[in-house]
Amino acid sequence: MHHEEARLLHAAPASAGPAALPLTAADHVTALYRAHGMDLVRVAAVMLGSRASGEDAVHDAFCAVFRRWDRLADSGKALAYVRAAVLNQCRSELRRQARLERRADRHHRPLDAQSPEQAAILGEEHRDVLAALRRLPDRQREALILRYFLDMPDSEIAVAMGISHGTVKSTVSRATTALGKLLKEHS
Amino acid sequence: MNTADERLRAAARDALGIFPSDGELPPLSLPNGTHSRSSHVGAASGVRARLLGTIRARAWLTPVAAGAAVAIVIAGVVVARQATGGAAASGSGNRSTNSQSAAQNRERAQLDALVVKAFVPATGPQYDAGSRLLYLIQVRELQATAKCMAAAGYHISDQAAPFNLSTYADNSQMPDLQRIASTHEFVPPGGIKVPSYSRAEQHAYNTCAAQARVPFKGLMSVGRPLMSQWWKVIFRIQASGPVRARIPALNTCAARYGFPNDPYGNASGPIKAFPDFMSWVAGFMDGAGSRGASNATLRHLARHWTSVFVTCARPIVGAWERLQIAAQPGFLAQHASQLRKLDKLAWQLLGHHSSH
Repeated sequence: MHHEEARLLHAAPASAGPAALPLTAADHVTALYRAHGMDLVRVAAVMLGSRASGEDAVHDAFCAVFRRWDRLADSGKALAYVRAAVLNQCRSELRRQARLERRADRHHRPLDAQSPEQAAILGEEHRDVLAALRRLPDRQREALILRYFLDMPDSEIAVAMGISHGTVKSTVSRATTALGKLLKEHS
Repeated sequence: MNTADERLRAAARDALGIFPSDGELPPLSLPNGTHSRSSHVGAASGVRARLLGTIRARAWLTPVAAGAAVAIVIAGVVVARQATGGAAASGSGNRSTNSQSAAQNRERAQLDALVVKAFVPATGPQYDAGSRLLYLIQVRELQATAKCMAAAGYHISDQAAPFNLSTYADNSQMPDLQRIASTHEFVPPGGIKVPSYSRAEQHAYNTCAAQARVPFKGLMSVGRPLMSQWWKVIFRIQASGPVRARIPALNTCAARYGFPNDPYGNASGPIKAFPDFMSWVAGFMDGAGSRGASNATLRHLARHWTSVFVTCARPIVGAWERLQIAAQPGFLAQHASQLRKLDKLAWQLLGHHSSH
């Protein structure tokens, strides 16, 4: 059935897509990018601490989805797939940054805590929130960012993170408590 | 002191101001569909040549027979449709010369055949060939959009990129095994650049593009329901007993090449439908691509996996194509009036006489 739906999506009315034509993978991915790209850049930028890194992660995620369009069992779930791909890109980038930081530590050259670019992610009064978020474990940080910065319901967070609905609730709860403690310490 | 929840909400609002949902995005530069040889399908030839071209490959006797049968069916439909339209044309008192009218008839016959392949394709090669009609529509839309943008003070090129099958091919439901076997490509390569516009320019673009689509709405409003009905026939055929009976052989064939081993971990179960098989094969290409394998490695992988794909897919694709080819004439006859409408609209919109 989902193949039929995908096919009918190809034959969607003109008002639903950018062209009065069967939509191609590029059309789908481009439409998704235009509709949700900036929301995802916001999330990735908060997660990575840099707008440029966020844009790169989102760009790479959309390219990955485009390459694997044939593998999508249900093209209607492409947005969920893109979100998961953005999270994966962010995790990879954070692991890469962590490796760099460990290497920098070994050579006694700590990286800048906050570059000018990082400072532009949020206004002055909220940077401590960003700093505290970055100190949370990966999964807790992701859950909070998806809930608060992308305004996603728990069911969609569960899909994006590949965890159960119940785990989202408990993770968000633990993350909020941990963030509160970190913010208190900071103040 | 604000709670963590309140502070997070405030930070999120702040971030929304810095990254508004409708803010400007950097251009999205999509990668090539796959990564090897070019040049094969970029120069897609005419409708008849595309069908006759299959005769060269002896290994493809079944598709050749299928293609030939389809050529006859389509030719029959075109003649029948023209006979009806021709009576009206002679009544209109058209005094064009014989050679002009012969050339026009040829062009019209080609366009009519393209209409069938675009909206009622029975085989992979037909599906691929029919994509050209959709490309022609996009070219006309682009030209109209560029003209409208110029009037609004923005310049965009009215020159469409050459026809690139990679944006149309459907290897899961209508694979063109002949093309895949000869090119060793799942889709021909071709990068797609998506431009990024300022907000004002984007608004103008959206308005212009919407206007450019208007002339084609009639064509699509007739073609789309027809296509939907035909695809229901396709889905029924591809899920039918004779086709499903080929699934065990597909599993056996895939197992010879390592199934269920998968670059993403073992597949969770047997292949239940053809798209599962396509996904499994594509995973080897995508997995390597996302790991940044060299072009040489990707070419090697493409050569191997396209061969696996074609070898294992041939029996099941052959089975459904035979049934689809058998079902096509009845469907075309049943929907003759819609097809005549489509022919007429396509000719009005895309015939050379309509170029500006």
